[in-house]
Amino acid sequence: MDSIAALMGGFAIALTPTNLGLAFLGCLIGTAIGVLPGIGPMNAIALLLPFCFALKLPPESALILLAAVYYGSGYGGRITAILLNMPGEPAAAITTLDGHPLAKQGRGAAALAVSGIGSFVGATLSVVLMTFLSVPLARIAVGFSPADYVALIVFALSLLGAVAPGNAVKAWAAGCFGILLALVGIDSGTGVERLTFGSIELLGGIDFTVLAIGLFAIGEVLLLLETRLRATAAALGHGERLSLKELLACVPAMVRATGIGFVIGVLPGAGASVAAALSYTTERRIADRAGTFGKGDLRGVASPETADNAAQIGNLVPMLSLGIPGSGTTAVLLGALLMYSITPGPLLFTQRPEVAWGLIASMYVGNVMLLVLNLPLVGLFARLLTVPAWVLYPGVIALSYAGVYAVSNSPFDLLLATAFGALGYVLRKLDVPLVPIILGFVLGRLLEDNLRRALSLSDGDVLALFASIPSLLLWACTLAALVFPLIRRKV
Amino acid sequence: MRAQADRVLGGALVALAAGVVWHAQSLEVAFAADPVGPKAFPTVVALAMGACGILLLLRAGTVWEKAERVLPGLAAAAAMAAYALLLAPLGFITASALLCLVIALAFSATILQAVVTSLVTAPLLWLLLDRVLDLPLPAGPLGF
Amino acid sequence: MHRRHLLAATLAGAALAPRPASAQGFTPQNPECIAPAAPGGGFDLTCRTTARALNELGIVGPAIRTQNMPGGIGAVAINHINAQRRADPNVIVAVSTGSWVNLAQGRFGRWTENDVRWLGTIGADFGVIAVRRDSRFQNLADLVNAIKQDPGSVPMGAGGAVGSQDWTKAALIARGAGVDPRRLRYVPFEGGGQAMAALLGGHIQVFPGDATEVRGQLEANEIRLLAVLAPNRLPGAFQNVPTAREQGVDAEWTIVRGFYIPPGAPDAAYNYWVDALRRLYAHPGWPAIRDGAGLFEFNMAGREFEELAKRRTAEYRALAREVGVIQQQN
Repeated sequence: MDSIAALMGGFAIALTPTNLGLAFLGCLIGTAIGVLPGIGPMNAIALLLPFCFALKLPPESALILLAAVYYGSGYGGRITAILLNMPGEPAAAITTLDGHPLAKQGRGAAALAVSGIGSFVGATLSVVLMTFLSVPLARIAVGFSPADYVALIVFALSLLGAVAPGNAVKAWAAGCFGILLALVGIDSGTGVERLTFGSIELLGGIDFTVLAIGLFAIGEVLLLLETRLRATAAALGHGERLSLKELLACVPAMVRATGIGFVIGVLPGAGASVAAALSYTTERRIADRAGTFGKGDLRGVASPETADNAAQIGNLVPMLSLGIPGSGTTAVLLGALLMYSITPGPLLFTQRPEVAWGLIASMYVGNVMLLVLNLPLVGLFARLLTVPAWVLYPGVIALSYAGVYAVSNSPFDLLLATAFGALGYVLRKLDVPLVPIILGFVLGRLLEDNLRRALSLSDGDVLALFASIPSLLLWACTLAALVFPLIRRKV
Repeated sequence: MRAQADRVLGGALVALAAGVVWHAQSLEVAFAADPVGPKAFPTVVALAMGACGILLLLRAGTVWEKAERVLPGLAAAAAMAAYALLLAPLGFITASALLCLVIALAFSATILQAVVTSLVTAPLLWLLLDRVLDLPLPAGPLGF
Repeated sequence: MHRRHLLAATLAGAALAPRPASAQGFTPQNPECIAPAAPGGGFDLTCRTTARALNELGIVGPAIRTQNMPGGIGAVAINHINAQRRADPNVIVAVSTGSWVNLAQGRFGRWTENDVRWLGTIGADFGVIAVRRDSRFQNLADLVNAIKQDPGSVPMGAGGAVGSQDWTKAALIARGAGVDPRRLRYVPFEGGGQAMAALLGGHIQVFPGDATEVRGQLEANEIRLLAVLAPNRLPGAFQNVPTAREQGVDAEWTIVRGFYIPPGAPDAAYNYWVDALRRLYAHPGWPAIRDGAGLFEFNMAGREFEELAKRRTAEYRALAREVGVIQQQN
């Protein structure tokens, strides 16, 4: 097969000592960036670009480094999410749902191990899919219409109740609140300002990072502070290590998550957070027979982490094979190619095979590195919780705030984060789940935009929303998701 | 009052929803660029949120657990807000050190522990962001 | 048009030898470039590219650092400059045509085009009208006719909101066809990449994009360009694409990338930075760096750029009033 020969050529490039070293460096930086809450992979790649030029790296080497930062970041976000209930990147917000309860039970190391293995499985299987099916998949992905996106997002939202089954009213209220937060800013359909209260800072909308840091990190700290600090790390280290049996039990979840994550990632109009959310909620609907999800189920960690990394790789598919950036980060990667006078686009594979295939081959290598890098460190990471609170939390808060400020220079964003922190504290006290706010925030804007696009294209004809096979399938899934729990309750 | 926490939440949601609906209706659109427009979606979502609020109003709810300690949390929140405003005038390192100091004290550190934590954390962060990542941070009147 | 500027710039900065610029004894202290975007955004690229070029080519001695200040395509940055650094001679701020569009619509708070000193450009991108390779439109006349007959029959989309610079390209074509831009069926997407995906997927028929972002698909023959919205034909892959004006439609869309400095900065600083840009234009190492940033040649600094900034914002204000996307109070 052509792909195999080309891939071998790619490995010849990826396995040179320089490129191996760069991939390793990129994985390290990526993991660190994933841990840092304020700075995302898009920022990091832009900041590393001048460094590539200063070192006079050839384009394939630069891309290997930058891409490693990108997919490496998917491994980092889970660490603080699981241990401290503070997601380091958007998709990791879902991981807190089961990851943090596990850490509280002293099983932080097991959760970290499962998430690391899940990330590896998701990423590697996705790279395999990408190796052989990149071009046809990208062709199918661009066929996905605004109406299809509407059906997809409605399906994802219909599972919202699964995030907090015991508390559906509050989950829905939180979801609606998240959607409304996403609508702040200039309305793209008409240019009208919505919910900005005349503030220039809010014109561009609320930054996801600011919301997540506030609700999770600040809110968590404020909640911790109101109790007399009984050793936070009490349970740490006494929990059992991950057993092979437990890991095997997570395999079906990982396989499903890879499928969901990769497919969503390939779509240019969705992202890793959507993938992680959809994967988690689907898994919960399918597999939560004993009601252990949300209380510390390893599958609830494996699913979103696997989907997150699968989606990240999937996101590269339209970029590499059609030259279409599906996200801000892939747009910056495309810009990096341009700086090397390489036209990103459909001809990349034929004109510059060393770049395209070198990159793909390096992703196999890089993910193995990340696994090897992450697994032995699991114990070390988990020990983070033995650091005294008066060292750990000042550091985490200062790091979050400084990171936000460094990329925005905006005192307003810091005040907003503090306000969301106070809100996060109050909502926790009221037993309102926070993850639906994040989901609403991520999905709400997508839903409105695509709904209006679809109806604009159909000239207001609502039937257009049900006019394609993917959309009909997704509507059927939505219906099943809503009806299925009702039936099961009766049985 | 303590068992009424959910009622307060419900009331707040209803009020917020009403505010959003009112705001959405007040939007003036120059021309109908698309059949849906900017009003419909926020209105529907706010109504759904308001409905959730009403459901919460109707039932007895969560008990608001009284905080064991109030001062540390307030101090930390105040320090975070102050940090936003003092970062530029004081400079990054000074402001960050103060933030760390207050939070460390709030987490029951001794004065010495808090001072050491803040004096180590703030310069480290500056090195990471300003030097390693080349993201300029404000310098204070003393040049750091 | 920009050839002439290059010539003028070459004559002005006659000395090609890289000695640090210094007009009337001014040398910047800890110079900064403010990018009104997060790292990775368009303005960030403008700042980092220019800073790197000015330093590496020996035109500006002290290292220029890039500071990110995202918000409202420059609204937060202009606020910051006017409120806190009105006379700072050591800061330059990146600006683009997108900023001018927002400025003209009153989205920069109370600040106007008279509240900064317009410095100059580093280059430009140009609007293009893209269709899929199997499109029923062979040239701009086909599209214009279709829009004339029924504006609703041609779904088009790009990466910006109604009223944004992306939308304005579509509006100019509509006006060229004598059709009210408000009657267009324009669908906003989240970024040009998603609009391109929708074009390739057949969900929209026309994508008024920017030259740089469509080059890959053009070279691969996935799309066809009906026109470039430039004063003259563009080089390289674009040389066979006629301008809109060649086809009888008076639509031109230059996406300028440049800088301003604070309103109270002294003349010495203004002259220093203008001189630095002119030296950059004349430097043999610059074109390669500029191409890497995805920019075409467009050299204009000093008074000429100031006039352009004021003329363009006035034009956009008029268009926004006519179409009704302007904020009421302005």
